[in-house]
Parts: sequence; C-alpha cells; structure tokens
Amino acid sequence: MKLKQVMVKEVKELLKERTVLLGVILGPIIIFTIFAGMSMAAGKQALEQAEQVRNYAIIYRGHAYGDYARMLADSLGVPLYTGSVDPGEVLEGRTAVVIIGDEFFDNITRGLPGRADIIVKTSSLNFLSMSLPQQVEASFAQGVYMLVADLVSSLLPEADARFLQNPVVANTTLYYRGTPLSPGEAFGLVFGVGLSVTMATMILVMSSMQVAATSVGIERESKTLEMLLSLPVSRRELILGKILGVAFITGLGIISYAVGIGIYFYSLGSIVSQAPEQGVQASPVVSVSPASIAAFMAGLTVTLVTSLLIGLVVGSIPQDVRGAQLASSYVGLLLLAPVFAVFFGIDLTSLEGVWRIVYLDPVVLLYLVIWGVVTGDPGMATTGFAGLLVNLVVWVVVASRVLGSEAILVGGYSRRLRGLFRVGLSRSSS
Amino acid sequence: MDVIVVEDLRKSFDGHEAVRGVSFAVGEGEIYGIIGPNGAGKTTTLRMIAGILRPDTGRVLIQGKEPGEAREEGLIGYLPEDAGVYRHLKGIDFLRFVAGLYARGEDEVEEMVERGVEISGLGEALNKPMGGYSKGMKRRILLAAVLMARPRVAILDEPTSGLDVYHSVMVRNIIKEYARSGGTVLLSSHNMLEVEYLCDRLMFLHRGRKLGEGTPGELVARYGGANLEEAFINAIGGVDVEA
Repeated sequence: MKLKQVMVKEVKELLKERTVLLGVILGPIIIFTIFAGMSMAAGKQALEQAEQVRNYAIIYRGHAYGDYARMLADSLGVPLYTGSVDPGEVLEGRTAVVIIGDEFFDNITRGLPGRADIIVKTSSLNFLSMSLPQQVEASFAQGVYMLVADLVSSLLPEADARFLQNPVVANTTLYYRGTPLSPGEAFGLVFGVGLSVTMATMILVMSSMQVAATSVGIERESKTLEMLLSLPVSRRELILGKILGVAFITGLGIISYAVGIGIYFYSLGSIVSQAPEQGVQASPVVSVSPASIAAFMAGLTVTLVTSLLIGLVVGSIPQDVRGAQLASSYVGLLLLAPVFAVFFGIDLTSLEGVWRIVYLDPVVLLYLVIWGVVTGDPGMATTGFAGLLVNLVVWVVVASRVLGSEAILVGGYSRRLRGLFRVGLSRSSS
Repeated sequence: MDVIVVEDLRKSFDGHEAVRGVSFAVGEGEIYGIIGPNGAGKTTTLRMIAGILRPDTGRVLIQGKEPGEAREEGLIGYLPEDAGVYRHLKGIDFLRFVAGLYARGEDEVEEMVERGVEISGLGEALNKPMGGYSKGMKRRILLAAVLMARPRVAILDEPTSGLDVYHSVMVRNIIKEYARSGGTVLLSSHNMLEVEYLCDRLMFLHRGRKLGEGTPGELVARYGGANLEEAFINAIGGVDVEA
C-alpha cells in the first residue's frame, strides 16, 4: 500500500515535468517519425536508382563480332556505339556505359565469362550510389545470360558450370564529379570520410552540447545563478565567458581530435589507395593538404562554438539539469539526424526543395565542409563554412536573448521561450 | 543625498501582481529594512533594485543611475536569499573571482580578498572546496564576497537566513560595521528582532504594497503593540488564519 502511494506520487510528479513528457514520451515518436521520413526518402531514391540501372549503353570496340554486338544490344534494349567513340560523350544523360571488345565475344563463344569495362556516373557518393556499378553489372550479366545461355549450354555442355555461374567479368569504375574511382576508393570515401569522420565529429559536438546545456541548469540548481547575475559583468561578457570556459574544455577535445584524425586519415589513405607509404594523397579524389586540414579545423571550431551556444540556449529553458540533459540530447539527435541519413543513402550534398531546410543545421554544414575539403571541392567547403558563420551569428543573437532575459531566473518554460522572441531589453535588465 | 531612490515600482508575473507601486528612498550609510511575510514581494523588490529583474513600471535609481548600469559599474553588491556556492571552487578562489570583477587592478583585488578573508572569518577553511562548507560557512563567504568590495549599496535578502544564533550575531555585527564605514544597506528579513536591532528605518510590505515606513520606534508607536512584530500584525489588520 505504501509502495503504491510512493509510486503514484512519483508518477504524478514526473508527469508534471514537461521535459519528461517531451523527452521520454513524445521524443521517441518525434525522432522515429523523422527517421521514417528519411528512410521513405531514401526508399524513393533507391527506386529511382533501380530505374536508372537499365539506362546504359554498350560501346563495342572490336571488329569481328559486330553482328553479335548488335544482337546483344537489341536484346537488352540499349543503344550500341561502335569504334573509338568517347565514353564520356556516351555517358551524357545515361547512368553507365559497358565497353566490350572482340575478347568478350571470343570468351562467350568458348563458354568462358566475357570481360567488360563498366563505367558508372554518379553525382553523389553514399552507400546507395556505391552499389550502382554492381547493379549495372548484374543487369548486363543477366541480359547476356538470357541471350546466350541456352545456345552455349547446348553447344558447349562442359562449360556450363563456369559460364552459367557468371557470364560476365566486369572491371567497374565509378565516375564521381569527373573523377574515376575504383570500388576501393569509393568505399574509402563513403565509409572513411562520410561516416567515420562525421561520426567522430558528431560525438564531439554532442558531448560539448551536453556540457554547455547543463551549465545554466547547474547554476540554477546550485542556486549560484542569481548572485552571478548580480555581479558587475555585462550579460554579453557572462555568455561569452561561459562559452569560452566550455570551449576551453572542448578545445582539449579538438586537440585530441586533430591528433586522432591525422592518424585516421593516414590509415584511410592506405584503404583508399592501397599505398600506405604515400598516405591519403595517393587517391585521385581525396586531396588532403595542410590548407584543407586548416579549413576543416576552422569549420569544426565554428561548429563547436555554435553547438555550445545551442546547448546553452536549449539547456537554459528546462527547470533543472535533468531537463537540460534530456533536451540537449534530443536537440542533438535532431541536429545529427540528417547526417545519419547517409546510412540510408541520402546524399546531403545534393538536396533539393524543402529538404534544403537541413542546411540550417550546423552539423550538416560541417559535413559539407568536410566533404568539400576531402574531395577537393572548394566551392562546397566555402558554402558550408559561410553557412556555419551565418549560423553562428544567429545563435549568438538567440543566446543573448535567452540568457539576457530575466526569464532565465524567474518563470517557467513559456516565459523562457518568450525570451527568445522578445526584442531587446532595457539596460536595467541587460 | 539619497543613494537609493525607488518610485512607484510594479511587477507582475503571469497576471499576478507581486509588487504594487512601492516607493521609498535610502540615504548614505543608512540601513533600511523591508519587512513582510512570505510572498509579500520583498525578494522581487530587491531583485529589481539589484538590476536582475526589470520593473513593469516605475523606476529605480542607484546614485542617479539605472540599476543595470549601476550593477555593471560595481555600485551594487547583492546577497540573494538561499544563495548557493560553487562546489568545486575553494573559498579563497571564489573571493578572488568576485574581487576580480569589482576591482580596477591587481592590488585592489588583493586588498578586497584580504578584507573578504577577514569578514568571512573562515581561516584555513578558505583553502578548501566550498562544497564541504556548512550552511553558516556558505552564508559567511557569500556575505564576505558582497561586502569586501565595499559597494555603494549592499542589498541583503534575508542575510541571516538559516544561521544559528552565534553566526547570526556575527553577521549582524558585520553589517553594522559596514554601514558605519559609509555603506548603504538595504535588507529584507522575517526576523523582527534582527530588523529592530539593525535598521535605521524600515518599511512594512504586505501583498506587494507598502503599508508604512519609519524608524522601528515610530512604527511601533503608529500601529501599536509591545514590539515591531505586534506592530506589523496590527498594520496588516491582524492574523488572517485563512491566508
């Protein structure tokens, strides 16, 4: 009976905590709805890609099997080009080209897998686009098999096992923004940069946000905030002092990060280029120079300061430290969700329409900086960095309003949220 | 010259009027008390004077300056009721931090810290993290932090709240000494004996309104009763058991 009374008291108390309601009960619904939206978008993208898989042409570079090549192209329903045509021109408006020669038909007619070069063009690099060469290869191989399997198996019964298992041996290349990438290089970029570096950055951003978010809550809970606000220091200096204090701690994180990422990029070079002695610069698309590392670290620093400001703002709205932690966790997840979308195959560098709203997210902007720096695209890196600076200014204004408002000390959520939108404060409370 | 001037101060929170047109003035070296029960509006009034809250209407001047400006210039020292301390910070480091905000140079910081050490009377305990301090020790270090900078105005919200008799007397003596040296003190308290002992003048505050103002003797004479406590009860029209 007493247990029930204690439990009922606890439930009533917790249900009055809006942070608990939002964080524990509504949070998962919101987060999973966002994830569902992302996976639907990714699903749509996958379907579009599946349609693109059959949008390829054949280039026949031989002389002896012209009729066979025509027959193969007709049966696959794809255009055929012959002679020394430029694959780049054929790729215009298409997903891929399959280049075959006389050797291909020599092998096929002998019941051996035919050799082909498959070049696939993509404007994005993610887990979905990485599978595109294999999908084109499978589509082409299936066509070859359907055309010649019966004929070959009746004429050359001893060749069945090898040939029927795999009628095409392809050498695939992914063209990303005009640069050819082997499957190893594409994997290195997507996994090594798009995922691992981003993940490490996300952990740093999240932990910094947590520290900043609890900063005001701890002051409020330990009842030091009121005296702090009464000291002869302007609100601007107070906010800046808090930010710099937390930034100093996270600065140590940045140093550790810089060392870690240096080691990581070096090992990434060995994955990407299989040339560990040359490091990451051996890759034709990954271009890491001291200048690009500096640009990346600058982007990371701006993102961290912005994250600290977001953490301060988000953490100052709930009543206590528990609320601040919950709120910053969920806001952090929301900020990181677009980067998680990489898992689902969404290319953050080429979003369109309403989805461009995610460019307001500093983590996405940092992603653009990382991607631009690593792939040697100064335009993308500059756009990302400019976005980060705009973001920083916006959050400085928001943080000044929230923390400069008297609602930081008195009043509940609604008063604190109103502090966001209140225009200016008189000197008496500034 | 009046150091604190308060004119028709009003403040509401979500439709509830916490302070309703309060006016008073406090002269240099004077100890002025605000007396009232819980919820009377004492803390809100003090917060507005300290520049932490913005009044809805009315105005506050500290030596002719807006409270925010006066606060930033270091004219105000404020001790909130039930204020806490930074758990991991040593007492001496806390005094140095506060002194650093008030002082204009390193010499002045050291001078203020020396004074803070003396006012707090905490001795060796100042070299320990404040998280381990007793309630009395915390109150003394906070009071020392407020008074060591010798601000023109010391605003003390329930300065002896939660202290035992010994430490209460010690704190009262510190406040008296501070006023004797020319400092102006504005304090609030539930403790009528304390107010009677400390304050040159005081005000009865009830439900956000000022009921009366004067020296303790004048108020007792005006409202009747054997002491300030009874005078206050008479001023508010007796004890309301429903309240």
